[in-house]
Amino acid sequence: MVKKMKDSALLLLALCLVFALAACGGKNEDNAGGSQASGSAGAKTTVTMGFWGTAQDLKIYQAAADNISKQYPNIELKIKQYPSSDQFWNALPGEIAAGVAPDFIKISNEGSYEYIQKGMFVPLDDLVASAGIDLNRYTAGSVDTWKVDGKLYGIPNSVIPGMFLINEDMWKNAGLGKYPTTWDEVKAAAKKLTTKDVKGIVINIDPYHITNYVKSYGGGWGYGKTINSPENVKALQTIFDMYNAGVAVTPKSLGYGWDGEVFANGKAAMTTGGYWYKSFLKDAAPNLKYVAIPIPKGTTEGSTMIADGYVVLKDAKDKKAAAQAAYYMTNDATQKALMENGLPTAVASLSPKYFELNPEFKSIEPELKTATDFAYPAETKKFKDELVMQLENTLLGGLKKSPQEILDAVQQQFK
Amino acid sequence: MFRKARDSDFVVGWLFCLPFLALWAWWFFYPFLQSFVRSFQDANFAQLDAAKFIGLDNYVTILQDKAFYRAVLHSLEIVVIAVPVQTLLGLLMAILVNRKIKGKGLFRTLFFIPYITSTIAVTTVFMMLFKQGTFVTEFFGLFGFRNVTWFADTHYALLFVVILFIFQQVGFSMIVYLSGLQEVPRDLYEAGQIDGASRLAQFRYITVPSLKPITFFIVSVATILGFQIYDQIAAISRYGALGSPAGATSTVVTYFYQNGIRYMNIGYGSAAVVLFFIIIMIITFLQKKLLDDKG
Repeated sequence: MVKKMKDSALLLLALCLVFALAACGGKNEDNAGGSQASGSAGAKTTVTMGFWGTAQDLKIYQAAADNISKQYPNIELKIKQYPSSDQFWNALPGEIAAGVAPDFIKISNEGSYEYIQKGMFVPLDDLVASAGIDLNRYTAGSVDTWKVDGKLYGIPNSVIPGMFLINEDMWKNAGLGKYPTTWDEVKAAAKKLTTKDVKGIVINIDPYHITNYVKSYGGGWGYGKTINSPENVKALQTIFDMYNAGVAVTPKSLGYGWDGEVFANGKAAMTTGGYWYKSFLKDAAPNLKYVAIPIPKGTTEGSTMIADGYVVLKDAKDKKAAAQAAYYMTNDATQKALMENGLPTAVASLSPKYFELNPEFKSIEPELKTATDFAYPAETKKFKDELVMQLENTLLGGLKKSPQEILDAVQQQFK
Repeated sequence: MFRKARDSDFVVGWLFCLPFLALWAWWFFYPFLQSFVRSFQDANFAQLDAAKFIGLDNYVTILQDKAFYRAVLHSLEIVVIAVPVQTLLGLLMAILVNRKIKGKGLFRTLFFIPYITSTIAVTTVFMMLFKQGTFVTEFFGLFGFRNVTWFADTHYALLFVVILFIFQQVGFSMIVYLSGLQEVPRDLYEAGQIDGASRLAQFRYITVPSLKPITFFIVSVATILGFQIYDQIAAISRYGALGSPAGATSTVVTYFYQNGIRYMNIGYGSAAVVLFFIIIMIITFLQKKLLDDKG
């Protein structure tokens, strides 16, 4: 009896091992089949695009992927969506190391510099001609955004300056008239807009928002060289003044994730933001009336230029096909669909139509001339984390550090 | 050895262990070995081919980094506070639901639910409860706590993580203790009663010693999980820097993740992991010395 049981156990175990081996073998056969197919004449090259965005964006990209064979019969395009920018940036290094990263990705200029410096993206200059990419289709500024040390790293997709958003009803109910053009006017308005349940302004302790303040004082990070410049100190002082006056709040203090949630829930009347507010508020607060105006002046006109682009990863299997697929994503039909969804385009011939389709952002159009890139240090994520930590220590932790001390501490890390 | 190899039990035993050992070697031992090797390299995720040997430089840098000590301190704080509390609570709850009371099945289920619920879901609910102005923060206000959003305040954020961890983990401790309580021989209690032992004395001299191996298991598991805590902190730090606010919830794991994955310095991150491994190993060894029942 015991022997029978042992024999059965051995048999069962052997069966499990056979299944396990068969499963592994099956995978290899699939791979072999795959490479055979791609290796045969006239076979399609599969290219994968990675992006983060909304479900609506996914539909548009999927439609483009379905139609790519009309222009590039040799390319099959697959779309890989990431739930958020954070998850995208956190997952990408591991995927690259594991060799399962997409061939090209849509990214923002806010985080691209670090990856370019680390050699993760392919310079496209040599591919432009061979892949048939016409750079004249894009606005000159948008192409320049993707140039580092004279080399082109991205195909422009969108470009728009940062903006300042105001809850129109709250503004009117507070008896306020003309919308603010300077931070002093914002401060005065914030005092009038602040009530027991509502703060005048939400200031997200996030480098994007901080950078908009910094640019409006003529400052900038200078790729790490000018972190503690007098202009940047003045900008931070403006933020601190509003907190100290009790008219500003961080999303975190209220238990929200980001500024848009605070704004949508009517907990603050003003905020710095971007074009993504349109699609977000459409779902989160469809009845909320808002106006978008240029970033108020500190000592000058200035704001961040937010630009999306397509970059080809260094490990892309077929770089030319990846560049072609990336270029295809900027075709008129896809760009129009994205524009209707609120995303600004970098295609020169379509750019003016963006403000016709999105009249709420019309007042931002002149800022296209003055908005500039983020210019974060090459170790962008480290810089952002350090800046946020220093600011949180003071604004949420009660440390009594001045803006000068905070920026000096950050500068120390990025000499 | 030859005799053993011919022994059917010996072969069957190893064959049964083989699938687990193969998976363990592939998924745990090999990556750890790789991390160990990487910890002596200047290695970047983006250019792993260009990794170069730098000896102990990563370890020296880590040991000079204040942020690492802060992370270690936070990890220790979580473990030192949360592990005893959740162990004691788990034991008390197990004793409670082991008694003949009405609806004890319901209580067992209710206490165990947080353990099997998604960490992110539990964290999200807790974040809603610990916002400024909620009945929870107002309740804690009775004990001198400020009415603020706990996870946004540098003074309360770590305590928030500790409470969250205890809440999630205590159900597991309860279930394990419950199984242990049901194994304690009844006749020991009966003998104690005949000898005139009070309930407290029975608990002190019968229940606690009988549950010593269970306690060792619970404390070991909770310690390791306490050191590995990550999901809760990642949820709190949503849209911000990991370990937010201002690094108040940074732990050894977030330190590794931030340096190794986020900043892509996998060599430096690996060195942190190796140090982390050594810390856990020492603590588990000490626990074993203190709690393991050799009798």
